[in-house]
Amino acid sequence: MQLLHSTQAHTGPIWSITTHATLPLIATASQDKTSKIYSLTSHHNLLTILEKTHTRSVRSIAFKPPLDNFDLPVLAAGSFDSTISIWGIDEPEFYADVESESDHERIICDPNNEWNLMALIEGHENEVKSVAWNHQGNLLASCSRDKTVWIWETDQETLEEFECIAVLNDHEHDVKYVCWHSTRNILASCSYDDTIRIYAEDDDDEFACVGVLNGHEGTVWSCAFENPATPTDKIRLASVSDDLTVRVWVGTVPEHSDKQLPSSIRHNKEMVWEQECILPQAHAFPIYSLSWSATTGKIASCGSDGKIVVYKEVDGTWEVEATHEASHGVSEVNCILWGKLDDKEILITGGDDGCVNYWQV
Amino acid sequence: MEEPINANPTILSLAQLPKRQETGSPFSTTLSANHKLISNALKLSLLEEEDEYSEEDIDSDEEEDPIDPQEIFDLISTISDPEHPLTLGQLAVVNLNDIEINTSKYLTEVVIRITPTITHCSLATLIGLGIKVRLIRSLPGKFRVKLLIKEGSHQSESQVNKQLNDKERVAAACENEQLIEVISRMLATCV
Repeated sequence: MQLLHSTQAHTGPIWSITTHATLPLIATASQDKTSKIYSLTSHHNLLTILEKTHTRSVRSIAFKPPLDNFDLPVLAAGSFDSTISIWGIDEPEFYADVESESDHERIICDPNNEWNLMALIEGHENEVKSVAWNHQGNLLASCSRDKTVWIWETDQETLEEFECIAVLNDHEHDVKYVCWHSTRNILASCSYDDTIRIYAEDDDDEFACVGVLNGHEGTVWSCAFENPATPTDKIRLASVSDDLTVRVWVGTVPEHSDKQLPSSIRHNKEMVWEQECILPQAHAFPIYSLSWSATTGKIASCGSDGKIVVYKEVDGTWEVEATHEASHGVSEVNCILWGKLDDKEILITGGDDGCVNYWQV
Repeated sequence: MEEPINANPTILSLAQLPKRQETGSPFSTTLSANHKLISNALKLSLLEEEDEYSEEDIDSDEEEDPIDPQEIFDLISTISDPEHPLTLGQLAVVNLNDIEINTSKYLTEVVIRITPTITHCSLATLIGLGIKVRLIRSLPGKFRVKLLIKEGSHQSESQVNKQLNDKERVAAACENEQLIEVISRMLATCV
């Protein structure tokens, strides 16, 4: 593993990093109450600073998946101040004339674009810990120390109104992280109560808990669905925990129930989830983040010990493929994700040192 | 003022608290004084200052000197109890023998077992947070501090332990102005 570049993005710790699905954009969330957007190119240009909105740490940040290749970028940021901010840019001049994707990219990544606060979502009682968009970009999930997971629905054309369509209070303690499946409206949340919960729409189109994953012996800090090239009826999820383990879980997709039946007879189909395996132990301190590559199927993890670990599945068995110690000096590493730089897959990490580090694996 | 939760704590006198043996320190003071003399002498002789006697060298020597349990004890034993005009050392909430240091290649783990004065002490979390903040502010970045309630000394050990070692909760607590004000008062007695 080789360090390609390091950006000193913040003076305080970086909690979270997100990359845009189609545009070369990367955004950070920091304890210094701001977020920054950089170009995800070899220039690493600072495009904008999102500030003067949150009064406490920005804990989590997520780019909305675009509607199409010409959709303007949108960001959601969740803060310890209990609010979620939604950011976007005004339509640039001559935007209607843009025909090619490269023109679109150039115009969107221009540092002169003004990023505006489009909405401020209030509802959680206290610290928001994670925000995540579904694959269609019309649902935003958030979770908090108030033990709840909320799902907000929005109109992607305006992004002004966010209507709460579900408050899920299945967890017993604060909820640390939420993530959606990459092609289905299935949501996972992980918690200080050591469990992971899975939610899907029931026969009345209401989100409800359809699975509980028990096994971790400490706070579950993060999780990620596998993004397989071909759809199967099995769904896999990987999770990382304070208990120093990375686990892979497997669930069976519920069949479509017969909507002809009256709801009193129909029953909600629970998903059956079981632990598939525990990956080889490689961390000495709590593991805070992981990312499951859609390209190679490899899993990368990081945490308090400052180590980056890459795992590879060979014939159904996970092996440690690469490790890198002290990836942010003596600092803890809070987040890791696979990304693309000049069409090559790289790893991106954010640490307590306020740096974003780019790695060639 | 409200009735204290623990009205009659056991108190140790200052003389009973563990202190560093004094033998080593005068020697090291002389040594660094010698370095200064030599370095000044070299300047007088108009020669280029040799690296091995530079100020920086003395600094880096100090950094390599590993931090021992006594040093950790000195940092936290002077923290004031939130409800008594006494320090955590005097109340034997922190004890030298309950401080453990594990060194690995890149990181150093400090494990501290604290003994709340009474088993249902609701202030255990606050005291723990005070210790955590004190050490985060004082120790170099390579330290990872783990705080545990000493076994059998508290009714909800595992609950308090989990809270105190949750990085995110500690970070969020440190952004709470009222809480930080209380902790600042506890730390005001630290030198």
